[in-house]
Amino acid sequence: MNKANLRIKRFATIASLFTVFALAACGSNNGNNGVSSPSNASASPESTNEQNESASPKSDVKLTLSHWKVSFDPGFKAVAEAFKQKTGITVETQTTTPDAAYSQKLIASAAAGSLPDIWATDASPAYRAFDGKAYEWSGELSKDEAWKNGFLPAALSGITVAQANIDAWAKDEKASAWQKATKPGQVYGIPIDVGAFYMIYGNKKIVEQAGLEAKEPATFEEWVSMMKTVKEKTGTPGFVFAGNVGGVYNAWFLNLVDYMKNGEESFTKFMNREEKLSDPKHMWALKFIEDLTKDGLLLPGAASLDIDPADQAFAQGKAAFSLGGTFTFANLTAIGMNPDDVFSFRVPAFEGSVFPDATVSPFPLVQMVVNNEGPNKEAAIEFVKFLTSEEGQVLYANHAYDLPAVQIKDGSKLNPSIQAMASSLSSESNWWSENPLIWQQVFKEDWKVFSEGMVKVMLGSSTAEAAAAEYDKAAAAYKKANP
Amino acid sequence: MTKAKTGALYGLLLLWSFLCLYPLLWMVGASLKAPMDVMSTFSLFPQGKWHWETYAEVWNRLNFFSYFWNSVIVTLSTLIGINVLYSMAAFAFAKLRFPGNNALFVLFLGMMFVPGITVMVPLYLTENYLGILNTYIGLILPSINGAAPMAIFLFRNYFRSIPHELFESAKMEGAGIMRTLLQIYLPLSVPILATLTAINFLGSWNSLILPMVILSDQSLFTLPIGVMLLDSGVFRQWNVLMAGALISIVPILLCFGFLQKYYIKGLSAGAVKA
Amino acid sequence: MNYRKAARREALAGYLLIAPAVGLFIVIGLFTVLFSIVLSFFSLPQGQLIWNAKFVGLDNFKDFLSGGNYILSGFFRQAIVNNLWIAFAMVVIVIPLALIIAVLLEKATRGVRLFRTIFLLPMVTSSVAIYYVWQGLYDPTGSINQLLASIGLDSWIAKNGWIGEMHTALPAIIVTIVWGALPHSLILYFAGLQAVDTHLYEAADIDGANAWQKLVRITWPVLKPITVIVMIMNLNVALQVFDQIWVMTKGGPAGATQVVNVLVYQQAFFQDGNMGVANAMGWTMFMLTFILSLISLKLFGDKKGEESH
Repeated sequence: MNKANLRIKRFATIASLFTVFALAACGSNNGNNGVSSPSNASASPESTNEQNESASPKSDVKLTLSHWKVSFDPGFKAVAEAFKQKTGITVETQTTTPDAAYSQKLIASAAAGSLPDIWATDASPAYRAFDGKAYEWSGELSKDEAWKNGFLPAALSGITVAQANIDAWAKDEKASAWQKATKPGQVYGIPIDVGAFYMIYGNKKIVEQAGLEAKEPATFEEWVSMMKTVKEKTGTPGFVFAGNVGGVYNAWFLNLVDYMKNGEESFTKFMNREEKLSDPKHMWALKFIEDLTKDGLLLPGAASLDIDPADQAFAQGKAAFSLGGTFTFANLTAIGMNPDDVFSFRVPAFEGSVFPDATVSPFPLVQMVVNNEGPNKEAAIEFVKFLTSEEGQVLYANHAYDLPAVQIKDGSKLNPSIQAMASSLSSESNWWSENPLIWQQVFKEDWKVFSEGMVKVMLGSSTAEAAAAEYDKAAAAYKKANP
Repeated sequence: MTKAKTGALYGLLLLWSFLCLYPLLWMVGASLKAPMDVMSTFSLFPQGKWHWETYAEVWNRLNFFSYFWNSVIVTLSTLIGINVLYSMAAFAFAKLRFPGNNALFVLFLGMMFVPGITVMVPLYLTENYLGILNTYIGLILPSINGAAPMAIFLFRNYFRSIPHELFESAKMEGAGIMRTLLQIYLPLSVPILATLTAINFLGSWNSLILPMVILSDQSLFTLPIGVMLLDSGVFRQWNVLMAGALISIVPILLCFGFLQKYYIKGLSAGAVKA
Repeated sequence: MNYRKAARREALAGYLLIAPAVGLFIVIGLFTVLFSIVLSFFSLPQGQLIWNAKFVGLDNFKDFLSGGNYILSGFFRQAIVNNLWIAFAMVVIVIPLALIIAVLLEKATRGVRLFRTIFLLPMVTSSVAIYYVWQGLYDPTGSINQLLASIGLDSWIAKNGWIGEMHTALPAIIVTIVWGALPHSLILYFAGLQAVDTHLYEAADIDGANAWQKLVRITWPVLKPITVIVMIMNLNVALQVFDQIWVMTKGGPAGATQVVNVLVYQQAFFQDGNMGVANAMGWTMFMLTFILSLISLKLFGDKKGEESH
């Protein structure tokens, strides 16, 4: 078989050279692939706006809406229901979980030219706009001032392309030419909710069982001692979070706590990799995990937990505290936890922190992107506008246990718990809201090494010092490759 | 052999049998337990009630009926395709003379070691260009192609082992090539058909990566993905997961039960020469 | 004249018969493979559309092989080391174990068919379904821990589950892989042992040969070619493993069970990945598998014309 294999290899080399030329020639053909039918919609007729003038209007238009969270679905469905009453247009939702599967599917659909009419994504300027396949909204926004002004300022600013974004993309080798050519002020997705990370949830029953008061601890240290007391008195571990998902600890906890502790300058230097993790100022990030593990305050198995199972563990009372965002509340109630058993507070600051009272201005979490090349573009735009009207947002927020992106004039229309959470966020902009590019550094490649190190510390197979040293090496290498 | 030795022999064999069977039995037992009991009791089978209704729930409410049907369609089509395409091709390789006969045959064999996961991306893009993404055909064609090396190899060997006189006499009686293949060689090749069916049924039914990459429409999902879907989301209920898992392997067990002899033949193909 | 026409008709018939198979092969097989090879020399970041791919020559390979991208190289090194561990474990465990069980089975006189059926089950059921079962067995509250607790070996219990602890995760995965791969090797050895002519043994006994001589002169020549195949098969499984890891651990915890194919999948389909790099990694693994297979062939293969006696 050896001789045959050699022949095959020679054949393959020649053929591959041929293919390169063929591909280059074929390349121009692929450009016309944009006009193709969306995947799930049944055959929609050409005349999309055929509406009878009857009491409940009828329409053959079916819109497809893709998203990734089971808890959103009741929200979308409620709005879709109301929309159908108004316009007769049907909106079909499709949930793909978990997040990674949804991501993959969306990217695949984009490459295949088979995107749905509307898709949900994390809210970020020009995110998942797939190089021009997304509808651009700035025209629509300036036309409809009333609609535009209904949004919370933070919601819109979070998804509008800014000069800073363009500058960052110019330097990013992964950014596409299309991204680099975007203009400030362009909007490729409409926010439908806002939220914030950095929330600690506490189980009232367990905390009170340990003889403690179920209220926000004044400092980080006090929170740790609460956990120790709970463990002593009830045997329940203090803390659970999704250890298997690197981003959770890094982006929902670490960066804010470090910012509060060390102040703007030091935090910025840390994020820009000019100060090391092993520096005593920043070492707390791993020491905290190490101490929790040593004292048995961490739920065993937390290292392998994903976000939903971690919430589930908390809801089942396996740990006294859990880490999440404002959106976690929806998850918890969906699992069946009684909202009255939960109390929440912003992640605590260390004693002697530079900015112990940092408020978190919310940012948009989810945006809806409309398929610019879809056959039902107009209907899709109409739906998104309805979804982000006050009426639509109240429906959505109440059914999805989410915070609306729009100002709700009559707060009583919202569920009390949603209303309470909304009022705990600040609506002014501050350093944190103005510098996302700095604290978003925790999403970069080198932080994957941090997360691996953290898991090792949680499992007891590494010390905080060793893991910190590993991270510093990776950070240095990243800095060298990305000046 | 001494009694002690015989005892030891069978003892070891029984031990290994137990290790082979335990996971399967655990699956059955877990699917019948109440959700809370799956992990808390050590016994294989439920001590209280046997919850047969889990199967109904998985089948109906969780859409396993459709996943099952999809797996059936894809696998059956793949099997038919393999047997038709490669019996034809192997017949040509075995019996007919034409330039490139040997080279092409070797090329097909060389395909055996192509790394599966790596070609997924180009496969995806190719299928997209052809417009067969997210369709049954999109799954069936690569599956058929993947079976080529073994199918052609087995058919060709088998055809070659049939005395050439048969071919000659058919030719003399004026039978066309197709007729010779269909009416003479194929009926004789039933063992090979069975072997290929046994081996490829397994491969196609259990295939995970290919459907994962190609399919995005939940209504087209095959059983392996269906089982994985049972796991995602907030709750993992072991009994439900195991019930789905069991449903997905029952057909394999059936096929294996009937075609075991051919399955073994397929596994040892070419390895043990008479 | 007539002969030429007949030959041409035969050739035409031949081409027609192989046309569908070859056609399918060219489109789905060959084109895809070549495309994949070519793509390894391009950079196609995740989320970009195909015509944005940039030619980068050997940069992709440099990225993960020689530290061009420090972080990626670290992950790749971890993955390939795991693959090699799995390969080592499979060769050292599967082959001897399969041989032993085959020998035992061959000596058994009763229930052979039944045993054979049972022994094939792990392979037949190798799919998502059974991997979840293994996950359940390895769970912190699963059967294995329960068993250890019930016989009093509490200190051996894996608190985070057998696939949740750093130093037991890979061995646990290896057990699952070995369990599923053993039947194939077992069946091959068994068939080989059965193919040995028992008369040879009798003749050898008459000649006064002892057990060792019988083994080397009669049994091993039959087993040797089987061992080559078994070795290559197991190497292939070890270096190309994906399904088990993906279902059970996705490479965790902290990369303890990461293997190259999972890394390839993550590079190809997840954020921050690069499809060109993914293909490059995949083909590197292919070359490694190919080379190791060649080495096995050389070590164990029969040289042409070698006498067996």
